[in-house]
Amino acid sequence: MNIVNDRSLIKLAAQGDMDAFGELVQLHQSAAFNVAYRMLGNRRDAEDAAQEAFIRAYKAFDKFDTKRSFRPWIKQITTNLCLNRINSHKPTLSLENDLPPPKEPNPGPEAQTANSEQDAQIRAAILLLKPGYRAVIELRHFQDLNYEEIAESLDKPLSTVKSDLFRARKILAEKLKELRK
Amino acid sequence: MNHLNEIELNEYLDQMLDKATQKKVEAHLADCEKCRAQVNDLKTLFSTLDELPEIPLTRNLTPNILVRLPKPIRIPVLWKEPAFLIQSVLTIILLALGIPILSTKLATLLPAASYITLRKMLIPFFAWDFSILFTMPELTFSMPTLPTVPVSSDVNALLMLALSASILWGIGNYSLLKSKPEIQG
Repeated sequence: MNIVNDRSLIKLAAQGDMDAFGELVQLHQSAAFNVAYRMLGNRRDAEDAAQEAFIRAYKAFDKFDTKRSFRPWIKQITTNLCLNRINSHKPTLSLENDLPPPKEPNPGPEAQTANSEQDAQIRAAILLLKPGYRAVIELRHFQDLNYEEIAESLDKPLSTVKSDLFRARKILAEKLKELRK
Repeated sequence: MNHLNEIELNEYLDQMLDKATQKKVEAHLADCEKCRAQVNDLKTLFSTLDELPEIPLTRNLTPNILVRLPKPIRIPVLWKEPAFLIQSVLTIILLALGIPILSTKLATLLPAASYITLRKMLIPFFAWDFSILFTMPELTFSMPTLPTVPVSSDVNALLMLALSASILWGIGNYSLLKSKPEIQG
């Protein structure tokens, strides 16, 4: 990714340039979608959450430090948005389809065809975690945030983040062990 | 032997321990099979998560996002507006001309106004003359001397000035109101 280009796009988008914002979306939509997919477990909800995250980012551009990279920011917005959706049990309706999402986590057929059985099982195991555990796994392992950054992002005490992360890892490690037997 | 607790295990794997504690943990792991097994389980999990592939996005989300964005209102930069510039210059000219004329007029109409004492200012506010109790200081001040301009200070000149100011002001305001904020998109 061209960081200079990213910066100039951010600058233009912050001034209300929609074309520049469109290019930022183009560059980072896949990253935001994947965060949402890991958190929510189905493509339709993940697409909807990713779209919502970009709209929130656009509205909050005045709070964004333009010296930072856009990708980590949009990923954190997506994580928090997904966490809020899971916690509030808000029905997440897709733009092109008004059917409610399935209640049980379902990695979706594309995950099973595109990835190994183990990948699909790990995704399913992540989706079975408590929402708070899911978020810390996402932020630590997929977004590479340190404990303090996770605490700040989720607005939780550091001790809670640590214990959530350790418990989530323990659950996942046990699940993985079962899968490998 | 004291086994490593969860915090030590996780912080060791996240490389968030200080060097001294890290060495102690490594020394313990070299001797303790149970803790080593736990670390290996977690390491396997970490690498599995690292290798979890990204799911391809099968459609472009950009058009849907752009449609849902709030339309920005471009507020015109005031100092760049010609009407604002004209009005500013006009105000300065009118003030430069009008103040000396007005001061000359006031001086002829109200000669006493240029010399006011504190007592004269206070008398209208008090029915009782408290000067019996104490002597009021005779503090005085006078109107500042204003520059004179070679402009006729008669009433006609003032009226003409006010009329031309009103016309130009009206044109300026009409021009400002006409340039409404542009809506993008």
